[in-house]
Parts: sequence; structure tokens; C-alpha cells
Amino acid sequence: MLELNGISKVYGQGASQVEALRDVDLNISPGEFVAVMGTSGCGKTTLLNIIGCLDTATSGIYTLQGKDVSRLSLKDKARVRNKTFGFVFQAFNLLAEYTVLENVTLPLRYSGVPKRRWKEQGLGVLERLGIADLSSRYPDQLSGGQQQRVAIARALVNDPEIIIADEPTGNLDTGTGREIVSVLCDLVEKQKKIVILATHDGAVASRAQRLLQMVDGRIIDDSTVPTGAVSFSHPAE
Amino acid sequence: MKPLYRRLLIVGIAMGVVATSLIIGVGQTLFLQRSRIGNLVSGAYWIYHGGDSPNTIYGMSLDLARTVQSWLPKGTASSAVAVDYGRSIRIGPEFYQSNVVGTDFTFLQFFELEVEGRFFTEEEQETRKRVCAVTSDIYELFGSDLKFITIGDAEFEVVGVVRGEMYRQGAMPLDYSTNSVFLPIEVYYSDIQNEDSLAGLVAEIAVLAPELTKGDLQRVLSANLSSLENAPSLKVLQWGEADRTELVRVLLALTAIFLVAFVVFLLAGLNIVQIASASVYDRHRVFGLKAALGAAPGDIVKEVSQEILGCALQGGYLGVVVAGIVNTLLNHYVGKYWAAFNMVTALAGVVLALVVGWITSLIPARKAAMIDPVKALREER
Repeated sequence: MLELNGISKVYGQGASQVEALRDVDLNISPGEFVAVMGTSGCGKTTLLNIIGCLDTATSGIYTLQGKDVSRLSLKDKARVRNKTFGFVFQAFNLLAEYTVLENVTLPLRYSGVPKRRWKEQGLGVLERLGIADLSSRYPDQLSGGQQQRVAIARALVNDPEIIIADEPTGNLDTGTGREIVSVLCDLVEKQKKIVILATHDGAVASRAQRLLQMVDGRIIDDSTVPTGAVSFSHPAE
Repeated sequence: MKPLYRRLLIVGIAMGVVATSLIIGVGQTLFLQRSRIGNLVSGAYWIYHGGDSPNTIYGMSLDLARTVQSWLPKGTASSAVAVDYGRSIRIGPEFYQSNVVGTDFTFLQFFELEVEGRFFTEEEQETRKRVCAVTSDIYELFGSDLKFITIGDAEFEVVGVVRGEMYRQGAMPLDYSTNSVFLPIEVYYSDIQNEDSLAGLVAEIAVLAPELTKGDLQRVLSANLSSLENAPSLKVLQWGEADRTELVRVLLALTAIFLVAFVVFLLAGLNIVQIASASVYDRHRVFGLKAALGAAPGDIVKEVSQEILGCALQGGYLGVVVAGIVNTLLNHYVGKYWAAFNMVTALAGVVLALVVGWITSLIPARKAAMIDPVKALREER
């Protein structure tokens, strides 16, 4: 499904140059739930951004569904982001002036889906997540958990194959975070979607099937997650 | 877009439309009227009894007019003019409203006219014959029945028909080119006004003196007036001078309005770009998020442009209304010189607002489209 070969990302120039990713190789197949763990600044978000076509690698080859992403135009990348990926952010990133339904249907505006079907599709996905009754509320009228569910609904509204979740439980309490991860697990188990999740939380990562551990822009470990809690240790520690 | 930005943008565009309509209207007026400056008629003057305003006619008695005419150098043609506006006259069995103009037989020299038949002669004036000439429109109305005209109790023989322009804007109280009956001024006084030459009002004395300057004429008047008791305030105006003075004043005022409108237009344009840019900057994260969710640069350009064009349309309507009000006020002050504000101007205002909106949306729309979603989403809320 997606393949990264020798991907590097460098920010800045000269003395202020920072290597956010170093020679990353990665293969992810449909139906995989991949957790990416590492300390702050290790390159988790950069990796997710490159996978999600939000950012471009400085070097290396990224192949998505058999296509070299680096050759795509800005417009094509936008189309890929819209159709292939669903994004869930730590800060939810819901638009305060839009209702829940309007937030959820936002990606449909850019996908060519006729306007008359937006409401039906939006309500459908809210129904699946059990929050259809919130459709006419505004984000500031929702709890953190509800807002993140809305964000997940928005990520799913175009029925993408890959969900990218960057610290989706970072702003939630443990119980609510667990619920959100369960929703993501269901997407993998029932809909065979790829979920790539970045987290600091071992308990969250333990729900994934595969765990990537990152240090200083490198993937130092890529393993199947054993049942039970996951622990992460920095090599230097 | 936040309501405050929306309102500011609408007001900015409306200001631009008002300023532009003024620039176009005033510019058009300046262009059309500038050729009228400098059309002074050499050697032709009006002497009138008045205050500071050249259009204020106090009038003088026929006796005074004749005295003044006697002061003029030999060979100078002059003609006293007294008018009865909208006087009821009878032609055959029909009554008709016309201007009855008492004047001298020399009146024709002041205009380039075609005369069918003749104007009244010096002899007819001296012998106080009841004869008159009429303008061609009256003749065309009554045709061959027009042999006599009855004014009051007096009947006048029609001896001629005059055709041509008999008007000098700003210097004459009336346009004599149409609907006028001309008769000897003494007869006018005695038979129409039932006054003697010491009463009644002569509106003005037309003077044709190619060898005299205005200063010369003023000096002649001053020298002679000083010998009179209770000397009236007589003034001299060169033909076209009143027009010129008024026109220069109006054009100066319009030039000032033009410059102010131009500055307002520039400020409005700057204001529109600034507000539109601020509105985009304010929603940095929103556009970043939309880009992350799949909005292509073209989608964002379209979205921002549509927003600004929506404001431009509303601003255009508002601007046209305000421009209409400003136009009405200007029309009140500069009246006849003002270019008309019509449907074409209104439509042009709205189209202009849309064009301005579209042009000014390009920069902010492009900025919005170029927002890096990674950087935008990384920023703190």
C-alpha cells in the first residue's frame, strides 16, 4: 500500500540545519494498525506528515499505491490527501464557526461529491460513531472526547484507506482516550483500514498491531506488538 | 470571514465605488466643460444695474437707459432691453403665453439671425408704431393667420419672423430664441406697461463697441455717473464673462473634488487589500486545515475570491446608493455643469466593484493558497 525507501527530511540550512528524518524505510499494508512511539522531537509527526502528503521528503522515494509521491503536483497531492487519507489531530482542529455536521462534511467540499449528498454522508458517519445527535452543535458545546470523535468522523467521511492520527489522545483523559483508540481499532478490524498513530502513551500503542520506535529521526525498532502493555525505552537511558 | 472584516471590506469597496464614480463623473465634466472657458465675445458688453452677482437684475428706467446710451462714443451700437415674461397675448381668437420684449431696432446686430420679412425700423420706433417681430416657433404655430397680435388693449402688426440663437448664458436673464415677441421699447412702455420712461424696468443695455475694452467702457460710465445725483451702481460685463467666471469657479471646485476622490480611491484600494489580507492571515490555521483535508490551491483561491466578490457586490450596491446621494448633492451645487448619474453609471459602479474585488482578492487568495498546512497546524491556537 505504501512504501518508504531511504526517506530523509532536513529543515533549515547551514548551522541551523536539523535532520528530522534519517534514511527511513517502511512498508505498510492494508489492515495494519501501526503505532509510532518516541520522545518529543524524534520525528514522529514529520514521518506522519510525509506519509500523509502534507510534507515532502528531502530525499528518498515514497511510493503510495504504486505511485511516486514526489512526482505529484500540489493539486494531485491535495487530491490524495482528500481521497486516500483521513487526519486526526491532537488538538482536534475543528472549525469553531461550523457546526459538527459542517465540520464533518468539510472534506466533501473538495472531493467532488455533490452538495445534496453531503448531509446524508456526514450524518451516516456520525451515526456510525454514535454522535449523530450532536450534528447541529458547535465544537465549543462538546467535550474533548466528543470533539475527537467528530474529528474522526471528519477523517472517515470520504471513506479513506489510511487514517493518520497524530497523538489523538494527547488532550484527553485516560478513559476517553481509550474509547477513541477503540474507535480506531474498530476501523482496522471491521473496515480493514490502515491506521498510523503517533503516541507517547504505551497503553495506547499496545492496542496497535505493529509498533515503530523512533529515536533522532530513525526507526530503531519495527516489531509486532505483543499482547499487553508496551514499554518504550530510549537507548541512551 | 469575520463579520468585522466583512463590514470593513464592504465599506472599503463602497468608498472605492463612490470615489470612482466621482472621478469618472467629475473627470467627464472637466473634459466636457474645459472647452467652454475663454469664449469671451470681443467688443460686446452688457451694462446692467446690479449688485455683485452678474445674474441679479435690479433694472433701470428707460430714461436712465437712454442717458447711459447717450454717454457711449459715437458709432457704438446699443440696445436697451425690457422684458415681460409669460405675458398673455392674443392671436386671432386664441390666447397664448409669450415673452414680450421691448427693445431697440438695433437689437438684431447683436445676434446672427435670419429674418423673414423685417425687424421694426428706426423710423417705426421713433414714430411709436405698433409693429412687432416674432420668433419662428410662434409663426410656425399660427402660420399665415399670424398678421396681428393683441397685447392688452393694443394691436400690433407682425412685420417679421426671426430665427436663430438669442441667448448669452450667465449674462442674459432669458433666452429670447423662442416664444418671444419683439416690439419698440417706447411702445412697450406706453402701450404695454402703461408707464412713462421714468418708471418700468430696463433689464440691460447691450453694447457693441469693438474699439472699446471693458475698462474703457467702465471709465466712460464712471466719469458720467459721478455727475448724477443718487448715481446708480451700473456694471459692465463682457459677453461670455459671467459664464467664464462661474465656469472657472465650478471647474476649480470640481478639480478639488477630483483630487480628493482620487486620494480616497487609492486609500480605499489599499484598505481593501489590507483587510482582505488581514482576514486571510487571521484564518491561517483554517486554510492550513482545509489544505490538509484536501483543498487544492485552486479551491482556496476560489473560496477567498468568492468571499471577497460577495463583499464587493454588496459594497458595489452600497457605493452606487451613496454615489447617487453625493451626485444629487453635487448636482444641487454645480447643477448644469454636472455629468448625469444614470443607470449606466450605477451598473458601471457595480461592475467596477466586482472588478476591484476580483483584482484585490488575487493577492490574499494566493497567500491563502500558499499556506503550508504543516506550519499552520503546528502553530498554537
